[in-house]
Amino acid sequence: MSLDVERSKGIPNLEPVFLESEFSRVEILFDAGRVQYRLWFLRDTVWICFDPSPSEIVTGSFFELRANGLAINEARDRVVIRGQTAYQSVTDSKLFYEWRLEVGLNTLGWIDFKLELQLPMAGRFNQHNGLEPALLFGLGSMPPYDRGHSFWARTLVLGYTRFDHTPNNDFPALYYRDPLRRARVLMFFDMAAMDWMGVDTMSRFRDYRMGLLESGGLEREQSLGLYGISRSGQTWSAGSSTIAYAIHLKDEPRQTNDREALEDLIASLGDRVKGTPDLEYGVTWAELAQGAARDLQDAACWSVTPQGQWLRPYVNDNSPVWAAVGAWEGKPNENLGGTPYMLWFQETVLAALEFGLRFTGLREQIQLTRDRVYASTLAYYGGVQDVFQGYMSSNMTDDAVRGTWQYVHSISTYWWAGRVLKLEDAMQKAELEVRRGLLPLLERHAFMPPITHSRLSLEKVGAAVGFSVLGLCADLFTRLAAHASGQDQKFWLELALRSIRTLARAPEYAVHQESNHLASAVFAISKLLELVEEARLELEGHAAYLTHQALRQFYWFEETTQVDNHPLVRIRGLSTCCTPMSYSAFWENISQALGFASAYARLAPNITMLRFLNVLREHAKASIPAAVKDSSFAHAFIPLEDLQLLEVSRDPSAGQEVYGAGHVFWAYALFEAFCRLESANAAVLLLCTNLLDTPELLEERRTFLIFNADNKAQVVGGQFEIPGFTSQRWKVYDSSQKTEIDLKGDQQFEFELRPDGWIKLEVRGGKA
Amino acid sequence: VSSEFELRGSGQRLIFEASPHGGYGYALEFLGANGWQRVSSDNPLVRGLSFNLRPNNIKLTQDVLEFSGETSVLGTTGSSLALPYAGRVWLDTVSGWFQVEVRVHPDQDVSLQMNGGFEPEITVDLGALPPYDRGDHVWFKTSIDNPTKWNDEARGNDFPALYYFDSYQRFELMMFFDMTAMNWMGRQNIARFLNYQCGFRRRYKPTPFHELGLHANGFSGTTFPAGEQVFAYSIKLRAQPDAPTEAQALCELTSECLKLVPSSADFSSFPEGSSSWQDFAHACAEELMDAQCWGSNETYSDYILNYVNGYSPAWAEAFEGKNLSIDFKSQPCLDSAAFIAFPLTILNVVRHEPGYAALLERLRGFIGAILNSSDNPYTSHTGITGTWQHLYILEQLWMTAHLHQDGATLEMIGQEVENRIIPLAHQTAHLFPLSFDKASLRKHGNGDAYAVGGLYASFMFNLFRSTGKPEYLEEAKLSLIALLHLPVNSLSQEVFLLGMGLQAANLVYLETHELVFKEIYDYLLAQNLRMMYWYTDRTQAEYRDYNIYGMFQACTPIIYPAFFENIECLARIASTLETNAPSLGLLRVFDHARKNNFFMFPACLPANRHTSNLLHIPFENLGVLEDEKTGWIGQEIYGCGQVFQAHLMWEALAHAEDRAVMVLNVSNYKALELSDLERQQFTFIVFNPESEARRTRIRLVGLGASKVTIGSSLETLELAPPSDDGIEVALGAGEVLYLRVTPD
Repeated sequence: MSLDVERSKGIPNLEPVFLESEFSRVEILFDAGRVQYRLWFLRDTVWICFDPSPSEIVTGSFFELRANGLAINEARDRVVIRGQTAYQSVTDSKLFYEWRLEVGLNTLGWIDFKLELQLPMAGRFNQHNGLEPALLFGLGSMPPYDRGHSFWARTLVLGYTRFDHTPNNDFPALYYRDPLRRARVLMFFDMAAMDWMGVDTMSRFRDYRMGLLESGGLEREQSLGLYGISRSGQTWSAGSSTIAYAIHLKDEPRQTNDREALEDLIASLGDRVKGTPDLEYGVTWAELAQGAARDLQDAACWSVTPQGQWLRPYVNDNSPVWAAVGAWEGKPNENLGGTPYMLWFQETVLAALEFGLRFTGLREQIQLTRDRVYASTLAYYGGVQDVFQGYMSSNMTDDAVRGTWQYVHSISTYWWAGRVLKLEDAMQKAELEVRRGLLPLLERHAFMPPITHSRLSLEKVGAAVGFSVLGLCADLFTRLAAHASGQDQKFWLELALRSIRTLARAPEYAVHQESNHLASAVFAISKLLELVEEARLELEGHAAYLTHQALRQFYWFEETTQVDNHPLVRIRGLSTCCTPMSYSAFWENISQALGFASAYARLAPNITMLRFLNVLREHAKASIPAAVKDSSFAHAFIPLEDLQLLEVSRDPSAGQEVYGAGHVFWAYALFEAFCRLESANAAVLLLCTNLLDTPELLEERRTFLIFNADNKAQVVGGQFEIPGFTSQRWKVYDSSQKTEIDLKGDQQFEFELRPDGWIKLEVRGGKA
Repeated sequence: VSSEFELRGSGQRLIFEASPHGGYGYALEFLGANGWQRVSSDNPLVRGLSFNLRPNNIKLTQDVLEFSGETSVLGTTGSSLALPYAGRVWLDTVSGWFQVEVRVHPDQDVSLQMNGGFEPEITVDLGALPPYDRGDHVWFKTSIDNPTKWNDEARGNDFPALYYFDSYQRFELMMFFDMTAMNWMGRQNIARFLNYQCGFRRRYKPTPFHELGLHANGFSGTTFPAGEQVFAYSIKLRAQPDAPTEAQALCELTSECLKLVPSSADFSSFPEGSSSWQDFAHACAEELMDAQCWGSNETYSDYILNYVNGYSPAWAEAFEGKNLSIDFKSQPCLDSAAFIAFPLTILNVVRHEPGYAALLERLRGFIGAILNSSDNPYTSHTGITGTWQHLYILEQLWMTAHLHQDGATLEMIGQEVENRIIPLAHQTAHLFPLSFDKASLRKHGNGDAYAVGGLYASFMFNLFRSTGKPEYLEEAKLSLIALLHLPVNSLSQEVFLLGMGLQAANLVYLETHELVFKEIYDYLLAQNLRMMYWYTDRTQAEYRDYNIYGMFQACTPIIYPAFFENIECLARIASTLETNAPSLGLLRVFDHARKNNFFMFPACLPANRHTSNLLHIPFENLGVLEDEKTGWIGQEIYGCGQVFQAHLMWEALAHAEDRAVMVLNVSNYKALELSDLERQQFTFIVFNPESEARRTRIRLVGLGASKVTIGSSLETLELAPPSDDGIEVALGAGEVLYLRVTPD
């Protein structure tokens, strides 16, 4: 036996090491030097071992860890173990890699596992016994009468979202409550640290799944965690790499439901979400908005034909991915901009520009662009009062397939624009379309809207349900309710309530599609709460639940694998475009922020969401080539639709979204347009919260939320600069005391905010 | 492409071509708008590092492609060994499916190579993933994967089939896997549905591609057994210009797979000791009076149990697992009484036997006692309850009370309906949770049981029939429409809830003539059949004592066939066949079930499986590979109502002298009051499942003076010659007659 092999066997007689928090402890075991662990949880005063069979740090023959030495810190909350493991190199030689395992407890009781490997040469992992590496916590033998009894009583929520059969690539965490042990386990997989994932190994959410894994022959056993169902490669690259995950274990005597599980999971992870951006781009949203206004006037953004002119969906109609789809379908020369691509594309830009024109200080910069978009839209549809005519069900002559959310969004945007522009006729048309088109569609499908439908017959086309569209519907119904009275108002409120209830009762794993829809749902609830007093408790529960559902669609990790994004692109804190599209997109990110910010005018904010929004505030700029100083784009202020992630990294890009360029103005309005902080502070989020609240806008009222995302207290000072507000009255709502203070004075403010503290300010304009 | 190794069906062809990997792989094409379009090529018959079976020798003989070949595998001893194989591929002209059968003959056990994936698998390679797979393709494909699953994670072990619609090339492709033939599956390799799934799969190595088939997500062992082993599956494809919804796709898939249901004459036979359903119902009623089925305590002088002797090893283990114990003998079981009393009430009217009357009286005595006590679950307003159990017991109590015109009980149930059940439906948007809090009507615990909507609709429709109040009809409609639109994989839980749903949909359709309810009927029938066992388990000797074909998975993911659910599903489906002509495949299912459900009784199983001397009280479960132990849950007293229901369905009112001929009562569940039974018209389907003609007499029992008509369809009924010896019928192989008995 060689010396190397001797070394790789490790030290056989190490005593177990215990690290202990107030409710759980991890026991590191050394079975003939082989490093394993067991977990314990505290019930009353008794420590209970979750399962006597130890679990591997990493499951897989390539990762057999035998300790050569260990060190424990004085606080006994961290242990470092080192060793060497023999492996087969890509040249088939037998080599050793050095490894360092750190197991530690954080302040919230998470047990962090971090394994660092140092390979002198790339290695080959054989995957003889299943796919590796897997990160599995052993649960021991299958529970008795598992599927007849234990099964119904357990609670399992897998973090990553799914659509139909397809997993997305978002929330890398899970919740499991074991009904026999009456304890719950949380797991979080640090995808940022595990940058080795890729086409040579395991392509993250392409190859991995989370959940319970049953294994073994006659001795059936269960384990919980991250496991592969396929592999992309089997080469572990040379150099250093990290495998990192965390487990949180706690006594849970009560049977939990999926809502509670999700809430627990997100609340427990809260502090793992850093609330400050990882970099700042050195450019303001105001500058980006002005640039977008200029770029939007360029011919690259316009289709000009004898039939009229309209915005192209993408700059120069250049969308490599749609071109590839066209080629695949045998239609390689399809001109995306040949006809107005979708009405909502035009409307969404128009709405943003209209807002910017009327309410922000960029009137001069926006005016020309807005006028052109406005005129072109009206011209195409035949006049000021007929913008919507071509879209109304009563004018449809063919049974073409239509996307449901796009349809609802279009009606909603049109109604909103009509409200802002005080075009009663437009509002009536939108309402008529709701009654004649949208409501029959919803009724026909029991308020479970299809993803696509035939626009005349209203039949579902193709697969799956778009539950999240109910968020848009509820939003629209509450707008209509707020504008109505008496029985009419009751009618709309009942529809909104039914939309929310159905969405809230949809399967926990099936509510995700377009990522901004859940924000619309929460916004709708915030308005419903004002109008439907008797369902307050229920609605507050739904708001919390749907917020947690929305948080699943955020990227809880930075993309660190080999993806061909610009080096300044940051993904963390952005939301996925749409489950399961697996990339982050600008329009959806800002729509999401807009929805939640608007909801928080009335609702108490979710702290995790605020942290994400603060990161998004800066990282969302990465979609705009000008922000990352990418000079390869002629129209550098029009956002890219897609920021790539590993799972879709081989797809062609979607293009620069002209339809999303309007959202640069919304971002400006959300984060900058009405208030200036005394000094730039990456840790302070300032949100204008009632941008979507038409009556308040028209009444010259603005509400703001200021949030301290830092882990230390901050003194936040600033000044309001609200165009058209000649005088101001403030009301201040303090998050901790929930008191209401009337302040009068100039436009300066200064508050001290504790970590995670927030404050709401209401500012009323008016004549001096 | 034309080839001598080609099979051609209606709009589809399967072609063997020389493979770059050596041997012949098969390609699939369909006849589209632009001629023959290829969807897949170079497929091995079986995939995996050890297999990848592409035969070297092929010949076409009388429309059958016969092939053979040999490959090299690793033995469990580490040495290389030859794996010869042979088989055939043909087009079944009756069903329109391509049939594939491969027989491999390893001399020794083979060591499977689970390296980078799992084997063996049977998949059809659809080539490169479309560009923008997740931004375009994902929205427009339609895919039905199986087996069923609950809560998006736990799969059952039911329907071995898949459907896929490709939105670019506009074709649909279906596959069915013959799990009866593939009996090599086990804990030593891949334990069938513990790891296998049928459906669509993306793969990313070497480049992104997609495939359809039987694929695994894990394994139990690495040994493929020596001796002759079979791989058998079916493929069908054709042009499909319109994107189907999943509901349409599932209907299409089950409809096509029903064409593959084997003749029960070839596949199932009455077990030894299965004299008749009449005998078993009679004996069951007698045994139900035995002390092993009853208990008493300070509150109740006489209460019925859930399991014979309260014996359920599975439940005992489950409670022990929680450091608890359970004594079912001390637990009065309202469920049992309610579930038995309803069908027994009907049977007691049509077949006057003292044993039935005595049992019914005893059951009703207990029901009355518990409903008048503080244990009445419907007068207590706190606690957590299982949704379907709460509602189903209530519905069964209502049915019995209504038959007997028991005003006090009906009043109590009416209160519960108005104050709790309908508000629960509204608060949950007719999307019912698995369990709920009785006080707040909020969901409790994890997961959902949306199919409760079927039970709710059935109950509401009967309330509508009884009261004429349109609001009940509206409730039934709302809950049925919700079932149509929920995600296709979210309905499977307790299986008979789907049966009740399809029955309700049929009744609502007949009442309203709104086509959507016909659509819902078809869809829920497909969902119900999706949870059927489309195979019998021959993987281990212990499972070969019985045949589970045509039984139903109790509940997704409770992965065993269960008697109560088997009959409740079939009886509900049967009640709709008077207005929905069944396919040959569906009739064969009923005939399999008519025979095979006797295996649920200890009387038809080997003595070493008996757990009491009550041999006519069925076991809750039969062991299958995924969940092994026959009878481990206990002998289900609560399921005995379904013994009477089976009798009512197959024999109690009419039967054939020749037992091979099935006489199916399709008029059950019609009576709401006992007096209705005297006025009721009964319709029967007479079916010859044999492969040869039969001549026999149909005996009618307990139907009084009546007019009898008979014909090949309900539209062509003619008066049958009256005879005391029954009605003589002659049926060709697979032929169906309708027989109707109308009171004078």
